[in-house]
Amino acid sequence: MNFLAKKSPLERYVADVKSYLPKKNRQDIIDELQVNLSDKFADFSAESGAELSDAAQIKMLSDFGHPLQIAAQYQGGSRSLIGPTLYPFYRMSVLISLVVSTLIIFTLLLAEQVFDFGVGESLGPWTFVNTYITIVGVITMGYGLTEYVIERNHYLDSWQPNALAQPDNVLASAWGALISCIAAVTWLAILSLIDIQNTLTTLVGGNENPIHTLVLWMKIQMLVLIPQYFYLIVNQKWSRERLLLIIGSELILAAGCVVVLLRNIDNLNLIYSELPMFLTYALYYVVWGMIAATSFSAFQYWRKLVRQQAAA
Amino acid sequence: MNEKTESMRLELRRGILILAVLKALRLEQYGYSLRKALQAVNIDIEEGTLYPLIRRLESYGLLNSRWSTEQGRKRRYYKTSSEGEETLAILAGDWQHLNDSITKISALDGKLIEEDET
Repeated sequence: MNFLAKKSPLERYVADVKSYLPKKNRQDIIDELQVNLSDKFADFSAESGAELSDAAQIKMLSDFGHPLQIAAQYQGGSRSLIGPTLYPFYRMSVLISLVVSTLIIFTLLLAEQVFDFGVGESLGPWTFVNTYITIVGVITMGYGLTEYVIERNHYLDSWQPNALAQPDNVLASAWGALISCIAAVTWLAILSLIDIQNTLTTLVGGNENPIHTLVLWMKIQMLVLIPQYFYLIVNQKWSRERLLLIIGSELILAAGCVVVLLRNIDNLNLIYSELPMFLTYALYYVVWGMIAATSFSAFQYWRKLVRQQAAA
Repeated sequence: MNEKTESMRLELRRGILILAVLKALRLEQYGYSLRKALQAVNIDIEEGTLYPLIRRLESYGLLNSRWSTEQGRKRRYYKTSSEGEETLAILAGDWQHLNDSITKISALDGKLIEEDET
């Protein structure tokens, strides 16, 4: 066989379609496609009374469609990671998160120039790129997973009107869920700007900087919360599982604050010695405030859960 | 004709394509001969849509297929299966109802125009 022999446009076309097809049935599809196209060429050739030129073949093949498109048709057409139902929300989430994060980074850069509070080394042009990658990645994964879950559970075919949000509870509506999603993803991206060691040592407060410990616990909390925010866009019902997840996420942050108070908060004055003392003390009280707020929030959700179970 | 109208026409034709294919394949045919048969009755559908569609219908059990060598060429022939015949009867019934409904709407439209003029 002469591998250097020039292939005809049809052979090249069919080989290209083949490369986009999954292994199963690939050869069968290609054999059939090749015969159909060859017959078409033969027909045109018989009509014109001459052999089809390469240029004529190329024209007919380009009318037939791009190999990628044809292969997609053979695989059942429109399968997508994020379908048309969720796509408008996806686009809006990405756009708003990108704009908000850009504004926050610009503000941080500006603040760094004016106050020089020591995070300048971790901010720069790559900060934007890294943040955008985080945002687009997390939002795409979130919506992709939601799409998979609603499709697998046939949620949109089997929904019940009582799963919809109460009209007076805006925060629990789809728009509320969307805002929560955007805020959580942007917050996660901003937290990722802080250059910390994502290790067990940091998690248990064995490192020097208590802020790093707190940031790592916040990141974990966001990772727990974000998937259910995405699902909240399609289903606003406060299910038992969802309430438990939120209670769990609040307790995660509370636990993080306790670790900080127990292990490394006293290092704060040493690390940020240039900062006024009242600021470092303020952080101490902020951490206590966070414990109070998250515990109260977890308690409220727990009461909601108990009420719901009693009603059921 | 603008792009939107063209896309609407395409959507409308796509809707009746399965009906046309099931009906045309009561007579056994292979991909390209089916395409020519449909073209002969003014159903001009893109081959890139038609060939994958007949394979899909076959995978649903609505068509039977077999490879056969004729005039030195190996071709895959399709024919509407008994399940395909049942589906065809349902689709043809729906098509008839839709046609009747459109005719009724058109008649209603005429009356409305008359009422408007008086």
